[in-house]
Amino acid sequence: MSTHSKFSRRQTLALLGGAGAGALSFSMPAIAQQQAAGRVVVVGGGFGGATAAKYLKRGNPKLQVTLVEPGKRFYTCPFTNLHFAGLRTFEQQGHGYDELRSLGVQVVHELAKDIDNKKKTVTLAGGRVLPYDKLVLSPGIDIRWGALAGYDEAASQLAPHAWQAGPQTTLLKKQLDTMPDGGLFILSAPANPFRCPPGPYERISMVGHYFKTKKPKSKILVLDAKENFSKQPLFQDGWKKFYGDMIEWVPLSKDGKVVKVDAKALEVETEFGKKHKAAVLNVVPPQKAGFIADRAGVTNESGWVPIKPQTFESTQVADIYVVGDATSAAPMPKSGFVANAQAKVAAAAILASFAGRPASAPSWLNTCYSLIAPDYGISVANVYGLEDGKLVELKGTGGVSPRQASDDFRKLEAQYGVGWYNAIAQDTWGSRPA
Amino acid sequence: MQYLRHSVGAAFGFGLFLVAGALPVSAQSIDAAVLAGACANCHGTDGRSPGVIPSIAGRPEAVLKGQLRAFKAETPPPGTTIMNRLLKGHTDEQIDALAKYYAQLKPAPAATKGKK
Repeated sequence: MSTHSKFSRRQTLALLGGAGAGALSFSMPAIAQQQAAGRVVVVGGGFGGATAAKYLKRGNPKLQVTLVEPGKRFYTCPFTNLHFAGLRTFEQQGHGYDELRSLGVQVVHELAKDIDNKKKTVTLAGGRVLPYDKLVLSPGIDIRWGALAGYDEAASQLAPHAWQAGPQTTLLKKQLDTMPDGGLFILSAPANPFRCPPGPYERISMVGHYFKTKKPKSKILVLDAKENFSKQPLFQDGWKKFYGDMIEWVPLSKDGKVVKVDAKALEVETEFGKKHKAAVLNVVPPQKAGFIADRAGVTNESGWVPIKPQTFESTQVADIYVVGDATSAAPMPKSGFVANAQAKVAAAAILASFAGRPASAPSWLNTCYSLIAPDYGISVANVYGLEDGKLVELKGTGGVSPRQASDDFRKLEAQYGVGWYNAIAQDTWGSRPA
Repeated sequence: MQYLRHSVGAAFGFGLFLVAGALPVSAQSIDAAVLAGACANCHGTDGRSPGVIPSIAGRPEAVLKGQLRAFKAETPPPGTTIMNRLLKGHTDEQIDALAKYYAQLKPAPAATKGKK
């Protein structure tokens, strides 16, 4: 590993050429002498946090990097939809922290319960206090309990959201498995912004596959608080092709917005007072940044975290960097890919700051594959940059899969989706394909 | 899987015809390691892929450069689906920096044995 980081540093120097060389005239031994080069605490062991910890330690092994994450294994939301289709086991979603430990990251399996942004400390649930020079928060989302009338924590035990992988995923799977053939599955989709914009639509595709193969008389109703959604024409083409009239999608303007949930009755009420009763009710509720972001003082009135795009440092509190779903980083989506990409930019900015040099030009991509049927995948790609200090999607770049594509193309994208999952799980946690 | 391997081989061959002369790297603006960061999300850490998406570490610089430029020019090789959409967002200088960066990384062990 040290061989690699030595190499990449040399490589970077070579590329920076003459102009940058003056500011970067330190040599490897000089870096090695920087004992206690800095203390970084990373809160959250998902796509953003684990990636930040890994790339910080790779970039400078002398940094003291501590990752705080309560779970011994992290279960990803991406690909849980395939579990509902019976195409993957839940355990295939799980990733551990052995690679980070082997890199020298201290992994602490505890909940971070508070942050003092003046004393620069993180307090763990057990009372231990961790001081930091730089803090990375990757807390993901929390559910805004009660923001949708009738949908509180107790209601989620009857009408799961399954928007955080874990017991909620298992609960929804069990409900689908025990639902009688001919039942109605209702998914209530939220207004923007929320975690994983194509997620609800991939979910109903995968539930559609499950019904088609196991419970063909069943139906799916999607009640949406939006007028349109990610990769919409591609999804709708795919639904028609594979699931016929099994899936009905109701947009905001056709009274799609759910305003009240009666979880005991498995019933929802829409804006204009229409009631729908489900056999299985999946409520994807309004969300906000994970609570520790509030404790750190980095959220604003939106419930999300504004950041400086160049570095992903909080605009409100110095030395706290926030990545992933918790951030307000439009036009970037709240996706695992983006969390990983943001974490690398934040890690590079932190390394630069410790080394006393300005942050490099950031670079972000997003790629998101969705599966509509087992051999039928679609994708969206995005390239982001900075214009006048603002995050923008670069004009003329990115885009969704062609609408008129061959079945071979869709099959390749289904395979590349799996390839993506295996690669990002390796890049983030060092996992081998399961 | 066989199909994918074949396509990738063909893709790289095709790319060779499109190699252009190296352009000067516009120095301060590009940090290759940062630029390359997002590639790892699909091609694996340091471009060594654990799955069906090809490894890119240790491929000849000219081959990588040609391939990336072919994607950017909207002449994607067969068996590819998304790279043309991503490469449209990259300058020639960025492409050159990426090709140089990945060419000099150690290839994945499996790739040197000629199998994935």
